[in-house]
Amino acid sequence: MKRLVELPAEDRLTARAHVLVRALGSTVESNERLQRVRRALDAPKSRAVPGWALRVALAVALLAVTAVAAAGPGRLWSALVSVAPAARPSAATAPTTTPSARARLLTPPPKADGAPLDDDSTPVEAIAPASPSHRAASPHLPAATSSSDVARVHEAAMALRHDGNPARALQLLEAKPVNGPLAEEALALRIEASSARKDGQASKLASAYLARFPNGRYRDLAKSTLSGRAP
Amino acid sequence: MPSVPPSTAALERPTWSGTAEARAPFLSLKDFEELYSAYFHHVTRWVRAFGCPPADVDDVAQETFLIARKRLAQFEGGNAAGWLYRIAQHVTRAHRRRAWLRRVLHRDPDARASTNGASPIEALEQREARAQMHDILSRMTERRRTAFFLFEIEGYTGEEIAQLEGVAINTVYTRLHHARREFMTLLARSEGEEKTP
Repeated sequence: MKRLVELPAEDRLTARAHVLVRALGSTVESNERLQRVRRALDAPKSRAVPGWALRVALAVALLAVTAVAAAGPGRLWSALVSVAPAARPSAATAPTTTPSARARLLTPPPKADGAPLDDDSTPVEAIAPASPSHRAASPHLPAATSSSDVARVHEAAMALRHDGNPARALQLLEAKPVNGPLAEEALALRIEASSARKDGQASKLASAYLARFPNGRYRDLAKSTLSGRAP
Repeated sequence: MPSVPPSTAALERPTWSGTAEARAPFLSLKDFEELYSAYFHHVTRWVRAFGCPPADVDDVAQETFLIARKRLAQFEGGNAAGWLYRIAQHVTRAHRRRAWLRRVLHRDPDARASTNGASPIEALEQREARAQMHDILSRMTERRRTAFFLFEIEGYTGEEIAQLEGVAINTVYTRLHHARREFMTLLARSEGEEKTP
């Protein structure tokens, strides 16, 4: 049987088919590539999450989201308050209990280290600095939905891309190390979020990325971060 | 004429065939080295034929060999190419299933196609041709697409594809016949669509 490109290009379609087949071209053999992948085979690799575990995690996350959605806002609030009593004193010290102030109180502070802010227009954060118990009480940190790496990484991506909130994205990604198939995505997201926050961690993360994934999908992002260019 | 027909020596004249016994109980790591050297380039071709994006071919090939190394003790000898081919097929399928999430999380890095030093116009034409080709191939069934890709693009012979797929040679030629007809139909439709404003 003759190959398509060996047939005479008698009509326009066959000629076009020749062009398309040639445009794709056969795989180019490269010894450098062969050796690079061989070296990567022996390199220590983080344990991949098995497929069944990923499916179970997704199912659990889906159930949790459904449960949260089914619960009314008031019931959710009372459930959160009863689960995290340590958050109550902080809330009590707030000078005002207007809905906006409460919302700001429950929003994670923009600085992860909890340093007081100079801006006088944000007294609530200064009065109630972030504490682990406070973070646990925040309705903006749905611990149930972020029980799996997939849900957490997806939520971080949405926070960064959709909400434009790199602080929250970083908080989600740094709460627990992301391993398995999404480790690379998580690290790349952290680089982006750190770059957006300009917290000085981006180059460190970029170096870590290049060391761990020298041929990774987001190496351009890491390299541009290291060279100081905007990704 | 095909640009450069690939070397299929490893398939025609296997450098690695397990052990002398038909049912080798155990294979050492030395066997893996031979397996890797003999089949690495083939695996990269196969995963491409299975529809793996070019940027991910190395990753999928690496994963294929990781699994092969782990399961080496279970391999009973014989058709090493077919054994690796099936592993590569499973790994590529799993990779494609995960790909949607990667696309959601990040802008697709595969969009940056290499231009190979061509002029901007040539590069644009190449990119358009590749995109059209991928579009057509994505509309074909997996079996036909794989046979078409291995035969027409990667330059494998019908016998080699039959050996890999573990089917009769006539089955391969039937698939190729239907694949080519489907390809030309889809191409005609694609060209017709391009004409309409």
